[in-house]
Amino acid sequence: MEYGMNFENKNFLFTAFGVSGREEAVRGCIKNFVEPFVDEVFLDTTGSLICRKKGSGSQRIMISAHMDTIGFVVTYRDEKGFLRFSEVGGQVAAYMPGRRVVFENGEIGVIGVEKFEKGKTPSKERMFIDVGAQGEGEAASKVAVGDMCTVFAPLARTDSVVTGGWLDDRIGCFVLLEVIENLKNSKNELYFVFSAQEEVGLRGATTAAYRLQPHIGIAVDVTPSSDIPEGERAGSSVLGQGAAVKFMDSSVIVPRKLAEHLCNLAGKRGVPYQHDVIRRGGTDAHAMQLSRDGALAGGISIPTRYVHSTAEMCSLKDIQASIDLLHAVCQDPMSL
Amino acid sequence: MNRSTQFLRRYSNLCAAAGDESVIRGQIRRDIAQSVDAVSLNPLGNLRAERKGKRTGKTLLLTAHMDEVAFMVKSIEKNGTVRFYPIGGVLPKVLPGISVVLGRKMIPGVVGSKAPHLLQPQERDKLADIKELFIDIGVGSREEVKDVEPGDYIYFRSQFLAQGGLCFGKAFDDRVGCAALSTLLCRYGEEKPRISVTAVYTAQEEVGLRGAWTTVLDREEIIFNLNLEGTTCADRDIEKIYSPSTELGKGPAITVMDKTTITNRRLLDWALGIARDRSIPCQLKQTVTGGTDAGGIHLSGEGIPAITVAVPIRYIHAPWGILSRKDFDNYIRLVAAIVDEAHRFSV
Repeated sequence: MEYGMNFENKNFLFTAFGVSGREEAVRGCIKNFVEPFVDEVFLDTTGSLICRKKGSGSQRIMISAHMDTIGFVVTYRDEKGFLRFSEVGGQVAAYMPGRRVVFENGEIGVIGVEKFEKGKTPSKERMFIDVGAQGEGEAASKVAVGDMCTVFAPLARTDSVVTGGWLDDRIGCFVLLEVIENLKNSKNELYFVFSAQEEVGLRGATTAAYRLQPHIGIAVDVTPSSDIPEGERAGSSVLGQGAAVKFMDSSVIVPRKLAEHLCNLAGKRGVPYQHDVIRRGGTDAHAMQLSRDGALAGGISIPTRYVHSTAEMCSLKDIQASIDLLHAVCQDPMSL
Repeated sequence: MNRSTQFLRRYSNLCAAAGDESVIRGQIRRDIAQSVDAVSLNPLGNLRAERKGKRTGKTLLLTAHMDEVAFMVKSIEKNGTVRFYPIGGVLPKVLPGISVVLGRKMIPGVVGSKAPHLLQPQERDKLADIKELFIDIGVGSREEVKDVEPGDYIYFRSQFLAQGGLCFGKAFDDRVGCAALSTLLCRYGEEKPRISVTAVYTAQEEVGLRGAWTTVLDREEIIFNLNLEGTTCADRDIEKIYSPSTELGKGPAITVMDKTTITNRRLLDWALGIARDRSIPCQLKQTVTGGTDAGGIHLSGEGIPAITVAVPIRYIHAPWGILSRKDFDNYIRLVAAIVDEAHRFSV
């Protein structure tokens, strides 16, 4: 199947560094890309990039996708030049050993393990990062305590899926950019927010929502796909069944009228969709819903397998559906 | 003993945990009242002091929390012993055998411990569970208990002492911050700071940054928040662990990241630059543990850049902490230098 999505001109989303709190590089790329298409671009104190697109209506909609990825932060350098680290965001120990990491300055390292014990996943405390340095001095010339890194896992695309280490939530950013690029006019006052520091507690969306005071908030983020062999049923969504309209996660219950509106809109436009209910995990929707005196908040999610691994996987069909649905949200007069 | 160490001794010896900060709040108020332009309280118990600077414009927000980790009486048993809950993060393993004070009348008590002679071999390796611990206040039955009731606060009974360049005492987290703030405010009473300073002594940090969430007022124009803290120091255990977090004697520690904040990079680099330019020893905190008031403050309103500077404290959140007076002096020097340069900072 052929889709109209353009990965080439948005490739920076899958190559530009941006661990939570250190999003400068990816933010700069997004800013350059969106400037021709929107009316105003500004930066908030927490690090989010806010893009305003004026509309004919008065409903303020905040559409948020987070640009930060999970990663690691160097906490200690030993005399041999090995680095101890802490996680930035939720890392899964089983996914970590043997992976390569990339630092903001381009340095590459490998996550090593002190030793493997049969039948056990080593604890994160038993792991370290090896940047190939001979001694502390050489390590210091490459990486400082406080520097962050993330898995080095470039994007790969087949005719049905994309897979890579940063799909959470660069694929959400991709959806927003696709919509921004192709949106001719809007019936609503739109604020596209590329939020910072989501993975450490929805921090960017918290201060952005306070500033923008949206009537409606839509978080575009990944959701776990519950279809892997003998896997845990983490929720209702599965890969390939269309855009997942958020109904509930552990941080938000979407007001019925907003969830139903999104489903109706998808139905009307012939966009494949599914209901998204997950037991664990939260998104920027939580921050938007509870900002000031509250906003109607929901989300459009992209079902993703192996979330927070080095090979997250999304279906091109679901990505396209999410783009189409978000496009409809922007164009359709919203009065809820 | 210089003024700042006198403040530290005074504040360390006072007892004040989350929700029970009135004693230290009153003391601080008396200590700074003459030096500032305005003092006010908020409903959660934060004490706010404002001092106008030589320049007009945005304000620098300085914060330190008043509350310490402590305990609360849960119940009084038939035999007159007291069961208790922790207020804030304290490990039960530091408790057996220590001395405490209970209630408004500061009734002395001892946390009961089993004699080593009576321990079964399998009990020796077991860590204490707070539910099994009790406090003995020297009475034989519930009826004899006077002046101690469920809901009363229980504090470590440790009196400050200085020895060989080190200070020993309780509640250094965060009485070091309170003492530094009071020292600086007294100084600014004598000579105005370059920019206006708002100092907030916050309440209820140890139970979830609760005072911090209510610190920033609507439409308040703040350059950034400089949060003053005490932090973990495991330099005695370095053989066994991968990072000492901080080391005593290497100067105040600046936080890159903890559980509640990732420090704004520009602010971090800028503060490190000030320390370097003025030759003030300082270190980076080398762990990503714990949280501070900066976590609540930096997400207030539209967001405020925040940075935490802390004195390394061995055995934090325990009856006795140890800090280096040199670190404490350099901490105050660094904070004063940051205040002095704050007008130059922009995000």
